[in-house]
Amino acid sequence: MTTARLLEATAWLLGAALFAWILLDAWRTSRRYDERLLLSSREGEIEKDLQEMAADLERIETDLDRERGTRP
Amino acid sequence: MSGTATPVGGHLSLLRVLGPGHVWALGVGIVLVGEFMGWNFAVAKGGALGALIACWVVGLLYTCVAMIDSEVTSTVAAAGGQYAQAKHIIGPLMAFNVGLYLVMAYTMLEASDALVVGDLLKIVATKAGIPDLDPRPFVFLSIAALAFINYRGVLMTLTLNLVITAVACLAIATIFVATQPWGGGHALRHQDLLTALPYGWLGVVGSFQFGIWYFLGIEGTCQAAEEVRSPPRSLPFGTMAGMITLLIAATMTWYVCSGLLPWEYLGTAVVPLFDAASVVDSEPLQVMLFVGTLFAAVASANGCINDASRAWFSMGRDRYLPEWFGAVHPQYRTPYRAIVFLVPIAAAFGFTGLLDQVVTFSILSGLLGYTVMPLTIVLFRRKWPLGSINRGYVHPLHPLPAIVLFALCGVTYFSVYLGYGNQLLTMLAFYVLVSLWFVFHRYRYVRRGAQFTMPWPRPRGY
Repeated sequence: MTTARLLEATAWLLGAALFAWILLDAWRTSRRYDERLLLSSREGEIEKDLQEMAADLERIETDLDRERGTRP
Repeated sequence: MSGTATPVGGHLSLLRVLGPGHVWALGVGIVLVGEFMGWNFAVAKGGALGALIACWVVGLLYTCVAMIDSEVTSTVAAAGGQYAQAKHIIGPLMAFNVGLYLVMAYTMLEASDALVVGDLLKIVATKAGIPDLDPRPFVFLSIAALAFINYRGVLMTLTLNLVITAVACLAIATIFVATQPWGGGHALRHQDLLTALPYGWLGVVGSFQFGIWYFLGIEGTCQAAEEVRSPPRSLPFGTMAGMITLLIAATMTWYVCSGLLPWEYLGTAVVPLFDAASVVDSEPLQVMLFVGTLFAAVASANGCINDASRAWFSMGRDRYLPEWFGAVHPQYRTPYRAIVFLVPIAAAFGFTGLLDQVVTFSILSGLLGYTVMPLTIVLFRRKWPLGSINRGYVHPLHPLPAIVLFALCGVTYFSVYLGYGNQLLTMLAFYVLVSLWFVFHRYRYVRRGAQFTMPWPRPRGY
């Protein structure tokens, strides 16, 4: 076998091994976890959480101000 | 490390672990390969000066893209980038098309990058006395290895991109410094080599289609929107810094190459910066430029896998495509099914070996996406005027960038039509057909209410 064929075979094998690992892991993951969990990602979820956190923070600050008597 | 994170509250989401540096690396990494090869075909169309005009005019087009993108993405911070923007601002059919433009543009660019890696390794093998190396196994290995890294986590993927993109940038800076332009540039012969426009102004317009290579893909920064820690800050900063880097790198590349190589040769060279290093006759510089070219191609393919998979994943999540693609890996927090699905498609395009055709389809898909942006920003400002929602960045001089972008897209379409008219018409026919499929078949599966996720007030006039 020439050096060129050896290098080509090595590249094919390495590429195939990496892709096979990905495929195997994807298959295992899909079997191991509930499909609803895997598909549970929602766009804008974090923005909504941040907005709720900001609203909570404002409510706490208002309550504290009222306790201090600085806000009616 | 991204792989150790666990889902909170029974929900999975992509991990917010990226900073502005990663955004820069994603944008510049995808594009920089165009500085090492491809841009120089503009020289064959319009001469060296024509290529410089194309560089700056197309640079203006992309500056408008970056400005508009930065404003909209700093507000619509969602994976899918321009797809999510079009969905919220224009409507489902346009969003579907934009999503496909993104996936096609990045997947074909990834295939082209892998082809370049294969060809570079073949050149090295030939120089090392191994003349008949088949590049296809190396095309496949590049795609599989980068898909593996992308599969295992976004932080590792884009940290790798940061390092190799920085090395590639350094290679361009090194050859610029090595020619000593401040000291009269002993090796540079601009006075002898620069000629008048060989094919007149029509040649300059014709060169625009290859001028796109200088910047194609910078808009890919938006795809990281759901994974950056602070989208309103990181995305505009990373995108603008990337655009500035590319404008400087493109001008330096043109300056060095046009001063070292005659335009007749430069217009057909496969690796012009590497050839320029050969003219300087410095072996370390040649090695540096070879490494830079290889790293730039790898960084581009790496970023393309990241971006194409995010766009495909987002469309799956909204059921614009089968929902199965909208899955997130519980351990690595990546859109793993989208990454796996796109590997054989990229490999198939890579195995064709038709670099110019594959890149042309990528450019056309990108160009179609840029044409939508003026409409997006005009509707965005009209429906949600300044002050009605929080924007991380507000671009100046509206609507001037939108008008300039639309006009330059028109000129570039004409330029592409001059060189690749059949491909342009084929691509348009393809998008018309898939639009019909979406309208008459797929749209019934879309969650119509749930797809609009931004906590915005009702748009003005509705």
